[in-house]
Amino acid sequence: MKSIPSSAPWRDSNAKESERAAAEGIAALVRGLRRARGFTLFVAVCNKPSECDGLLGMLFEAMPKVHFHHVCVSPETDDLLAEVLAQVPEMSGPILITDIDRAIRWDQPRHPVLETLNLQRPQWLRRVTQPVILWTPEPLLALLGREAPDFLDWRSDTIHFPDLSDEQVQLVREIALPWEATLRSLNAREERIAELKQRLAETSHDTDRAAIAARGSWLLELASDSASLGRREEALQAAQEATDIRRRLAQDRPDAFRPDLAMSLNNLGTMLRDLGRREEALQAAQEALDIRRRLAQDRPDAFLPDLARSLNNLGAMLRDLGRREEALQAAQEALDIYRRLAQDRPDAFLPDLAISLHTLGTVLARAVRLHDAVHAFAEGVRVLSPAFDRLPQAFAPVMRELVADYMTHVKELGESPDMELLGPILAKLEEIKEEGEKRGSVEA
Amino acid sequence: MTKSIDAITRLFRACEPNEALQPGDVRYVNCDDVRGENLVQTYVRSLRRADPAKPEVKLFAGHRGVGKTCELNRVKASLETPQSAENPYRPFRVIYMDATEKLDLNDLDLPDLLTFIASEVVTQLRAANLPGFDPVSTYLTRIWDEIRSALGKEVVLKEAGVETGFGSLALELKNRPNSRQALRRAIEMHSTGLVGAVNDMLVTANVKCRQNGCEGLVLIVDGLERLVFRTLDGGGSTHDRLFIDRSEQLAGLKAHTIYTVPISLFYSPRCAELEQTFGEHNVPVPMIRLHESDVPAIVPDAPGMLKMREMIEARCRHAQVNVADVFDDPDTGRYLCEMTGGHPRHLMMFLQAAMNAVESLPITRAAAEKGVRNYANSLLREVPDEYWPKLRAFAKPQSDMPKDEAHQKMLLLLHVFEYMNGSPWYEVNPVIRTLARFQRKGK
Repeated sequence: MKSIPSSAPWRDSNAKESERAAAEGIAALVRGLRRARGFTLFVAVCNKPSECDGLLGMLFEAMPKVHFHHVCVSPETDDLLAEVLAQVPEMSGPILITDIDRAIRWDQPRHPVLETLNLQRPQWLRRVTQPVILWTPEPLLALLGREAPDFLDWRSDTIHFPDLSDEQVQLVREIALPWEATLRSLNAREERIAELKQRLAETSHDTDRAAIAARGSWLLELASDSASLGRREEALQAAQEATDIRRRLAQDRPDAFRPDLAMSLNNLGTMLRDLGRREEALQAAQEALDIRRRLAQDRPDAFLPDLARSLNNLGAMLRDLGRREEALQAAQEALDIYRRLAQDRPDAFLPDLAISLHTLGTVLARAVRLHDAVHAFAEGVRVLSPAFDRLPQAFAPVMRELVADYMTHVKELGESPDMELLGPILAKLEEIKEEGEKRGSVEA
Repeated sequence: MTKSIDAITRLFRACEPNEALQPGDVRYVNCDDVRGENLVQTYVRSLRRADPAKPEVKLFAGHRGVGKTCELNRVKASLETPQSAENPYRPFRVIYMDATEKLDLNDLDLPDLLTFIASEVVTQLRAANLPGFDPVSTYLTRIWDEIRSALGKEVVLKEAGVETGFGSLALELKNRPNSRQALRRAIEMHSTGLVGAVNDMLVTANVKCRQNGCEGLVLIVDGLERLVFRTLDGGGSTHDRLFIDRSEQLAGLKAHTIYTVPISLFYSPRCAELEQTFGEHNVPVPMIRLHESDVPAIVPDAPGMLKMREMIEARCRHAQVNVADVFDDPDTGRYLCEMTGGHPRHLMMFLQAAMNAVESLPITRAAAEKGVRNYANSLLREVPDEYWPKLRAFAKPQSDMPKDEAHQKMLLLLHVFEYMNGSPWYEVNPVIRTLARFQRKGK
């Protein structure tokens, strides 16, 4: 599973937990299917049919060599096993069962299909030779628990997919795929972690300043790699050690090492936030900001971009803590700095300006200033457009977020989106998606 | 040098202007006291005192032919000197790389340079065989794989493995101007990763060096001062594009690094941006002072003039030629020295040109004048019309140099020389002074 890179600024500022959870759900299913031998039951909980389709598509893409059987349950059936055996006479791969809710007569007190299912449990084990994923909406899961408890009790795992918009489903796909490349990158990351750990072990007692500084860099990288593999505690420990080292170095030579300390604190803040330790995260981010503010006072040319990045991060953290006024102030200050930077060096800073507009938009949306939020998202789209035209692949993720949030909030306002602005961008995003799909199928 | 060849040929060969002398060469003459600034000592000292945890990046500049490479060789030798009773310092491991050999200096941009540096660092660190160190990390391998896949199928590299791949790619960049832009785009996409991977290698090697009795690593990237100055279509110059626009990346290498840069860069209108990244007080290797700024006349026994004579004597010794036999009159030798304006390579050029005008030694006054005239004629053609009025301002020593493109070029093309004695001063190339056009008023 390709985790969302924690260093990507737009992710730092606006992590989408639900997309992350969905991507991790897909990864869990893939792992489960790879490991399963014979009949193993997985229950996938998903409320929206369109989302379910999207997730199934991802599974197919993720396991291109696997032959899936898709069983759409007919509304008339009272016997799920019979339906499966009829639709899949020769089982050569996992069986995905969907639409079982259509066979439920919700207005009836008894549900024969579930009763039969519960009674037939031993037959499933004998006659179904492949893993099964039963896709169900939440209300049906509750019913299954009550009326087919024996059958449900056999499940290997229950994976809940949060409700996602179509755009979000697409984003999940981008996060989770392409799988082959992802697996390669996972292996490479593991190798790198081993390499870093070896270096750290070889210098664990080294008191030389160069070795200590090097350990700081290695620990920071280890933290980032561990976090990306979901080993958050390990990541936090490394990030904390890196910060301690840099704090010591900065005490000796503040001018030379304060920028490094600020970077460490920023990373530490992100990791604490990901672990839900929001107050500590805020404290680290605030310390990073204070350092960068001082640095930027002395050398604005060199440190204003870092200051703006810190403000943007802090704005997002304050937003998530519900401290709206402070969040707004930080996000606005970040935006003001990026505006100035982008005026002098548009090529370098327009993308950052767009990210900052996105953060401000989300802060305004939380404050229910929807009109202002929509304006910020729209401006973000406009600002990012030249860079997106030039390097569509590189800027697609942030453009997609801007567009998705713009659409969502325009809809909430009951207004029509500006298609003159969005038309070419949506077409390009679609093109990128298709290219990705083609590439995926070629690699498969 | 064998005596079976005649004296003039031996001397001619000993005066090769394009040869940078290595430390220990009998032809080498130490000019520290007449340059006004002992840069070798300054660089070596500052690197020895630098915080090993915070690498320093330094620029090394000077007029073409003033002896930069030779001085840089001295810096290298001094840094590498083993610890002994005379030298209390631990030696550095120096990775020296000459960009002129492997890069196209007509058109050089950061991706080319990064690739070249990656290639040299991998190769030289592999050869160094540091205990417990492998230059090819998983990080470097990953970046190499990413760059290779970004190159696409059109680019087929002879060596595709990570160990030799960067060298192969650098060669492609040099030899295939037509596909250069596409190659650069592919590398540029991964430039942050590439710098990261090179830094990863440098930091680890530095730690290993220090664990094994060394003071650390120093990179010397020579030859970059030869990057051709050209105004770019979108504004700016080739120099600004590499040294100023990309200065953060250049300064971002995590080992002490010395880059040679064109002297004109210090006179760029954007010099302040350069100083922001590399620090202030970048002093070029100055010309040898033949006179002081406040004493316009050159006297024969001025320390600089004696140093030029010492250079001729050293070449004569090497060529086994009696110095007394070289010139028809001591004044002829003094004339040549004066015409150099303290520029060591010009002395060699004039000596060879003068020798070309005679069948055998001695060099006559007429031959010496002929040698100088050859160079003067080329300057006459080379100096653009609009420069002449500006150049006349430098007939007398000037303490300041305007920071604009015209003056940048005047320094770069050796129309104006920079001298140093505590503070810098600027004076026209003495050969230009001999030209009638310089002496005329107006254009």
